[in-house]
Amino acid sequence: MSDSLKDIQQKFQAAILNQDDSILAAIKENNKEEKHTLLNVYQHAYGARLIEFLENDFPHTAAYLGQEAFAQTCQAYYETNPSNTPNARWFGLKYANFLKNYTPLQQSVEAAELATLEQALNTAFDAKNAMALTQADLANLTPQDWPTLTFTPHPSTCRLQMRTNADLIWAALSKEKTPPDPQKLQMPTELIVWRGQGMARFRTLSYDEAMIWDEAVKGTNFGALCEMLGTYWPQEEAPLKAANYLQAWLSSEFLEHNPTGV
Amino acid sequence: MSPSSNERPPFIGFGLGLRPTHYKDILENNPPIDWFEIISENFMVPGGKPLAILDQIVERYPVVMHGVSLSIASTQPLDMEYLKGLKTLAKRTDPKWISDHLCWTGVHGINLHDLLPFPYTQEALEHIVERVNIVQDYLGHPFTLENVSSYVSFNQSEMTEWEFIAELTKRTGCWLLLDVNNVYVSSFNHDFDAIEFINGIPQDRVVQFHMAGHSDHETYIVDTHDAPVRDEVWDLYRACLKRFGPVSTIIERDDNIPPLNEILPELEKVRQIAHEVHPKLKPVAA
Repeated sequence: MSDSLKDIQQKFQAAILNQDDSILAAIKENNKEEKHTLLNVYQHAYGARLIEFLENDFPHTAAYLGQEAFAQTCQAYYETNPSNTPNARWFGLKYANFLKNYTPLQQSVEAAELATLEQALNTAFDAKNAMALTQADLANLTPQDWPTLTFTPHPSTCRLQMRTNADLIWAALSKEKTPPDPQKLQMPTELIVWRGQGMARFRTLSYDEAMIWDEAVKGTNFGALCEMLGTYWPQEEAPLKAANYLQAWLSSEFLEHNPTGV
Repeated sequence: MSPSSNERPPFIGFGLGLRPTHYKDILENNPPIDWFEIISENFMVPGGKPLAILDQIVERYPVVMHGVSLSIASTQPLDMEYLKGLKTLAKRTDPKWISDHLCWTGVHGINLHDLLPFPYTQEALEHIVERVNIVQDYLGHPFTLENVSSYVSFNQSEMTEWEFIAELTKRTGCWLLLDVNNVYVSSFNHDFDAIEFINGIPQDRVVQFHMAGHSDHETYIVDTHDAPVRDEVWDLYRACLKRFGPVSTIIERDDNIPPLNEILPELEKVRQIAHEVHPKLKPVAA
């Protein structure tokens, strides 16, 4: 009894994923070439294509690890995480997390952090559109409005904490310079990733700015943010510090114009 | 399907597959290209620059949506979320038609991201006819399927590829995107006559041609889209023009993509040959 279409597809997929050759019996003899060589066109293309997807999404991680080591991480990734998405854009979503637990790179924490940074930049690049909150939106607020003011982060924003100098490695590679030697940090670097003027970007945050940003995202109001800054600065300077940070967030497009809030 | 949604799409001239490396040049210089074919999946994203650029392209040029993940021949259920995404994108771009490939891309929830072959059997035909009808009804735009290049064929096939395609279009009314290079590649790989293939395709169903380059491995040819169109494919293009009349055509490059000014002469050749074969062919109005 001949195979059903379902059987053929299951066997063909098994040949590609697991090098299972039972599909060969269903493949017609070819006058010019061996059947297994022709089947190998598909088997080879599968891995090559998935590596290409990951290389597009993680170019600096690929450059940092080198072609061979990067390809090995990709193979280990797609063998355990075959694509289940119709869009190649989403295939690498778990790659950075995968690297964190990838045994051969356990001593290279910076590689996983570099991939995490690239993933955050990719996500910011085509994140949902939203109108940014501007200075003008806040111009008509009364002094009484400010203490209870809350903020909505722009959908493209993402906070990261680096325990290595992966951000400096990224910066060097983006200028095609030799990256610095990897370093584990005593104190983590706080980063924010976002899309500004259509470009995915990141910058470091000071510890106090990181603290009030994280609180603002949770819905803490401006008055409380000022009080929290008082733990870092003299109470009388805290409101001015908060205002300066807010101004920087507005000009960088970190915040979303939220008609129901501001 | 609404009565007008499956009307024959118009002839829209000679275009290119839209690629990110050409965005800047296109938006700054408005090159004389009649239309663009977009890869649907590239724009099925939440927001940001890809969609902002697409909006600008759509303002200036007609577009056609070309997908790679519909998996019309797969035995796993149609991905309705994916179809929903296509429909949302179609609302944004108002495409002249929507196309994908006559192939499958995976089963058991896995996408192998390849255009995979299947045996040309009655069973496959029944299965695909049913799915094409669902997709056409859902999308509400002219729906077009492309013949793929293949490297293996199956003992079980009960008909030729062109007989299968002809029957599929007859039973569903779907349109065809004839990839001229793919016909050539498969004819070499499977030892059939490319002219017999095109003569087996219904004359009134082809609404688009793809022209592309390939890689010759002596005993087989791979459809790589990484090089200029080969002479033998230009010859086949002439034969296709004679059989199908003037058909909207694009050049498809996916790898080793040269700057736009290096592809435009090849597009001019596409146009010139069409005018040689059909001297009365009028330029498409801007």
